[in-house]
Amino acid sequence: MTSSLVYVRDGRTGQLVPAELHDAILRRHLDDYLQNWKPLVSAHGEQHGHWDWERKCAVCSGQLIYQGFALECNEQVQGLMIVNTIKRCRIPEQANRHLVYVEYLEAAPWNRRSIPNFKQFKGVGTVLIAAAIQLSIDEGNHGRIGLHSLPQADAFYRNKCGMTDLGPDASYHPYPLRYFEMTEAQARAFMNQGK
Amino acid sequence: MKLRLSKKWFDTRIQPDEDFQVGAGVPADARKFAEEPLGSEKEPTSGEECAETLAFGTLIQFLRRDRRLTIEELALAASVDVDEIVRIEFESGYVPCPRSVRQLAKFFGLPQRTLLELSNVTKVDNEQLREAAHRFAANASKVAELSHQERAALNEFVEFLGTHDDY
Amino acid sequence: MRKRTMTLNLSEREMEVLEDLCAKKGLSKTALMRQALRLYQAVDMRLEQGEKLVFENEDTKEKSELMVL
Repeated sequence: MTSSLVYVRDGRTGQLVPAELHDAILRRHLDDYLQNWKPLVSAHGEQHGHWDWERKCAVCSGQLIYQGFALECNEQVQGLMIVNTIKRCRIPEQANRHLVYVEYLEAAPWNRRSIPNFKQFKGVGTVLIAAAIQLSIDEGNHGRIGLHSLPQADAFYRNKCGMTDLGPDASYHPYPLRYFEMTEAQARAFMNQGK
Repeated sequence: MKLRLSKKWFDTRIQPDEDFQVGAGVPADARKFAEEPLGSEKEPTSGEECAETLAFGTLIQFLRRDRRLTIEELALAASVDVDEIVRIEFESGYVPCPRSVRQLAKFFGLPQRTLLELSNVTKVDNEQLREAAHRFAANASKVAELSHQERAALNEFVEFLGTHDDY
Repeated sequence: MRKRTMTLNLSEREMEVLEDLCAKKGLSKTALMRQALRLYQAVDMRLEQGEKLVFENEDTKEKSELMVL
């Protein structure tokens, strides 16, 4: 397990604060999720409010195709992600090449707009997407990533990450979420901006 | 994997005034729907039966956490599939296979017949058990560390189960 | 994550296939072998759960089961 120093922005002071990105979801992250995150989400009945990360991790653990990531700040988990490393691209120019597919990505409820006193930290999604791109680079996939976006997050992937929007995916049964994919050039642009 | 990005990168990429929502992956309610294709549903369980299986799932989860075991470790130690344990602990109304219940009873040192009733594998015709299960399910919430109150509820319930005759 | 190194002996034919696949997929030999291992494990886990690995012809919808030993 490796951790990296990253930064998120405090939503109230506007300052950057150091955070830790782990390339695994550890027991303490799940404990934190169960104690602080899940009760808050359940209370607000959000769209992805019933995701059970403990269950997801139990199913994914031991399978090489999956890798988990956890973002920690102030000794609290701020975001979780599980990626799949055997999926393939759909954009014609890179069709059938491998990519890192983001199975699940979620920010802690106190970092979300839909929860009162939201946005304790901004940039959780940005850090996790950067992690997916870096893993893709490390795996020899040149930064190519793909994901199915929750409807309220479409603008983030389209405008902020510069990913290609391939439209609603009818094969993503039974909820045709929009599929977004990032090309090598888009990944380079994402990672190089501000370097 | 090591992410090596400068502080300047984060300063540029994360703007103070940005207001994006994030999230990816099929919504949980849709996944649940997808996992239960039409025609494959089990017979609907009554509210009372659900409370018993809920008590069973919570009991297994509490006992596992009390012994500081992961789901995988319990699965290995009790010779039960990981997925079966996941369903027992998390799927309300799930009726496990009798073998899993026997294995778990053996592992945790609890009476098999009582656990088979509690998990709805066999019919519950014991009013005391039903009441104890309902009380336990009502007092238990699934959190990471067992609180003092939860441990008391767990101990009381385990003690009650232990007083029942086994096969 | 700490990486461990091993030497892999392949026949001429196997090496040719590996090199062809690497060129086609744009992957290094190591990346391709790691990908193959992940895929093998994923398939094996599904088969052990009693599932079958089936290919479907997109045009004819004809299905054929791939026998994996």
